[in-house]
Formats: sequence, structure tokens, C-alpha cells
Amino acid sequence: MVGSLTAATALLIGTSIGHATPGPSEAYGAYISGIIDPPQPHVQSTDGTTQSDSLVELPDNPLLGLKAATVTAGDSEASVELANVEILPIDNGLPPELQEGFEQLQGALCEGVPSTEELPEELAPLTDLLDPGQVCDGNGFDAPAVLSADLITVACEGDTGTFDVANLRLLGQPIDVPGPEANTQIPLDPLAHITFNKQFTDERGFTTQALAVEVGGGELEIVLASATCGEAAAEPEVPQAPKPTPTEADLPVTG
Amino acid sequence: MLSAAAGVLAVLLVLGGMMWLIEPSEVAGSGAAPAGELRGHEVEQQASEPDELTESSTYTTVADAPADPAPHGSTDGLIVHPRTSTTVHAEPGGAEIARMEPTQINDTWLPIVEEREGWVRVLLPSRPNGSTGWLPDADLERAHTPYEIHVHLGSKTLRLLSNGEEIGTWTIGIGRPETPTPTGRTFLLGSFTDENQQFSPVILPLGAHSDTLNDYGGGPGTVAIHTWPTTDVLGTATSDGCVRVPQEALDHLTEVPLGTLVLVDQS
Repeated sequence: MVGSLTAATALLIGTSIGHATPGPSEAYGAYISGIIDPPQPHVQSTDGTTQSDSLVELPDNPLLGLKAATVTAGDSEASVELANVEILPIDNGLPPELQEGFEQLQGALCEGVPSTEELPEELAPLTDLLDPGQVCDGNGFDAPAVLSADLITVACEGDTGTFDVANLRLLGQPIDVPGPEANTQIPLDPLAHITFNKQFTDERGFTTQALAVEVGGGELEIVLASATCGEAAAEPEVPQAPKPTPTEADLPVTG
Repeated sequence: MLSAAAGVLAVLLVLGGMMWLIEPSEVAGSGAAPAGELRGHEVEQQASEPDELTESSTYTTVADAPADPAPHGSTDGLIVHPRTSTTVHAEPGGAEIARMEPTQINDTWLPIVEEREGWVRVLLPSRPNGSTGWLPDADLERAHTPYEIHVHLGSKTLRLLSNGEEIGTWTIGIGRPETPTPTGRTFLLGSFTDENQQFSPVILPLGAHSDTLNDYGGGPGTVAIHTWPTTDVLGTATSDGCVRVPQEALDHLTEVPLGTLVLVDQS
């Protein structure tokens, strides 16, 4: 299993992971390197004026689905609102490679089998969180997606960020979200790195993201709802005026 | 709680492998549209062609040009060069009063005396003295000059400043009482040599004109800074309006960028 991932990782190395054009405030709905790349929908505000865009659905992909995305960026403020978000939609069938892992998950939960050695320890809380009786019917999970939410909102203003999620459902079962702390990380080193409510500051300003996933040390990157608050573009540095070169002219002056 | 959710996601992502993510067939037809385009501030379109208007130059008069609001004020040293023929307005978005050409005697450089979004107010080289006009900011090259030239008629001195510090002060000759050197705020308009005017190796015309001589020697009465063949004129009011300086001063002044502010007062 790990071997297949390593092979995948090797193939992924060399693909471009850059996605965001450097600029002051910006916001985008979703980014998957190589698939939704550049991110969509995506706006930037380089001069401080408010820019908005929206999208009714993402390009076809097996990872993320949503019904509406609105992004806005202005002077030192930005926000993203995503409606009916589905992370790893199950409805249309998972990709075969994911199905294998998914079936292991079903086995672990629906058959009451404790986490297998192949499942990370982070899965252990599932047995407390989810009632197999509610989550599993006779055939396994009955859910539209592994993780879904009615509304995900991230926003930043200056150097502060907010993250709200409404009606979060894990495998179809509602779960409470008391409001995750910034940078709630799920490290699965060295294979993957998952961060909820990711917040960071870099040369572009302060950024808050609902969900950021890095696989294989960054070769694959997934970001859901990203808002960056920068400053309005600084006046470009004005160059020094040139020394004049005298021309030949015929202009009688007042002597 | 969230760690559990993330754990599920991680399991599926990691255990499943990511081969499918880079399959071209998966990417094809994804309909990826370009990211939202930037929509910057756009200066409104000019209503008419500039060449239908009078050129603002040292040879012309732009009667409707608004007067300089601060004839003795300093600026932050910003100057502009129109890259193309540009319409001069009486106010931002207001009446068109003239056109400004990229080249006059030399490349045209004008000092900014006021700014509003998308517009700059500059001193004009045309008559009357103290004329200003507004240019749309779209097609202007900006630069900064650290210099200012102060001409004091009372003390008959010229001070050259750079970044507020004095480079030098020289005794000068100024206009006679009948043909006085005009006061107010103007600028270095050009730098030229003229075989018909041998009194100075280089002549530096200003944006100002004689208020008493509407024309002079076939020219439009342009006031200039230049040297004089004899030094006895320095410290006197004997010119027809021009500012006569010693050679050392001219050596410095010919280094000064066009568009640099020249402030003439009675002190």
C-alpha cells in the first residue's frame, strides 16, 4: 500500500504546485494542484477595491463538490463562502484506489472491528464519535460524502481570521463543531498533512484556509476556502528623473 | 472531533493512493476556467482627439487654464512625462482646454502640484504665467527629482537645493524693473543650445514668460536661466527678464532634471 503511494508520489514530483499569483488581498474557493489549478473561483484586489466572483459548481473532480461558491477580496479583507460542500463524494462512486481504503474503513466501523494496524491512530476516535447503528446500514455507509457541510465560511480582516462551518456531517451523521482552534493539524508524516482552519502570515499577508491537505510533502496540495488579507498595492517606487541632454533649438529667450 | 474527520479523509487519501489525480483523462474536460481577472481602476476615456485642441507649449496661450493654487508652494518632487499626446483638462474629468505633447524642446516633463485618483495637476509651459491643468494619469511616466531651484529677486541670488539641502548659492542677474523676472512657481522646461544665442553654452528655458514682453526677438518671451559673456551683470537687475547665472551655477543646473520646480520670489 505504501509502495503504491510512493510510486504515486514519485510521479507527482515535478508537477507545479504554485497556484496563487502573488498579490495583496485574494480569495478562492478550491484548489487541487493539477486539477483545479488555478483555483476557482478566484479574485484578487490589487488596488484595494472590492472584487467578487462566484461559481455554481467546481470542475468535475473526484475530491470536492459544492453547489455555490462566492469569493470576495478588498482592502485588507477577504472572504469565501461555500455552500453544500462535499469532500470525497460517495454518490458517484469513489475512484477504485480510494474504494480500497474506504472498504477498510467500513470494515473497521460497520463490522465493529477495532482499527486495524493499517489504519492510523487518528481513526480511533471514530468509534466513540460515530454510532455504527446510525452510520452503517446493512451494506455499509449511507452517506453522500465522507465529509459534508451545508456552509463553510472563512474570512479575514487585517491579521485576524474567522472560520465557520454549518451542519458538518461525517459519513452522513451530524457532528458538532465547537469551532476548531487555528491550525488544527493532523500530521500523517511522512505521507500527508491535514490542517483545519489553517492560518499563517507570509509576504503576501495574513491567510486563513478552511482545509489544507498536503500529500507527499507538498507534491499534491488541496485547499478549500482560502482568504488572504494584504495591503492595497503600494505605490510603485518612482524612478529618479533623468539628467537632460541639451538639444539644438531656436527659441529666442528674454536674454 | 475534527481530528477524527480529518483522520477519515487522511485514510482515504493516503491509503487509496493518488495515481488517479494525475491521470490526464481526469483532468481533461474539467472545464478549468481562468481565474478571475483583475479589474483595476480605469480612467475614463477621453472624449475627443487631443489634436483638435491647442497645444500647451511655450509658444501658446491657454486662456482657460486654472491658476496655480499655491504659487510659492513646494512639492514632493514628482514629475510626469506624457508618453503620448494627452488632453489637458480644467479639472478632473472636466472641460478639455489643451493638449500636451510628449516632446517640446526636449522630452516634456511637468511638475505635479496636486493629485486626485486617476488625475494629476501639473504646471503648464504655456501663457499665462501660473497656468495649471489636469492630465489623466493613464499615459504618464513618473519620475522624482530631488532638486528645487529658488530664485530670490530681492537678494539677487539663486539657490539650488537637493533633497532640501543646499548645493550652492550664486549671485545672479535679474530683469530690469521695466521687464521684471516674473515671480511664482514654474519649472525647468528645456535644455538647449542655440548658435544664434551665443551668450550661454546651454540655455535653460522655464515654463514662465515675461509679463511685459509678449514677444522677444521672434520668440514668445520665454524666461530662461543662462550665463552671460560678462560677469558684471551678476548682482544687477539689467536683463529683459531672464535669470543670468555664473558658469559654475550653470554647470550644476544643467545636471538638474527637466520638470524640476523653480520658485521665484521677491525675497
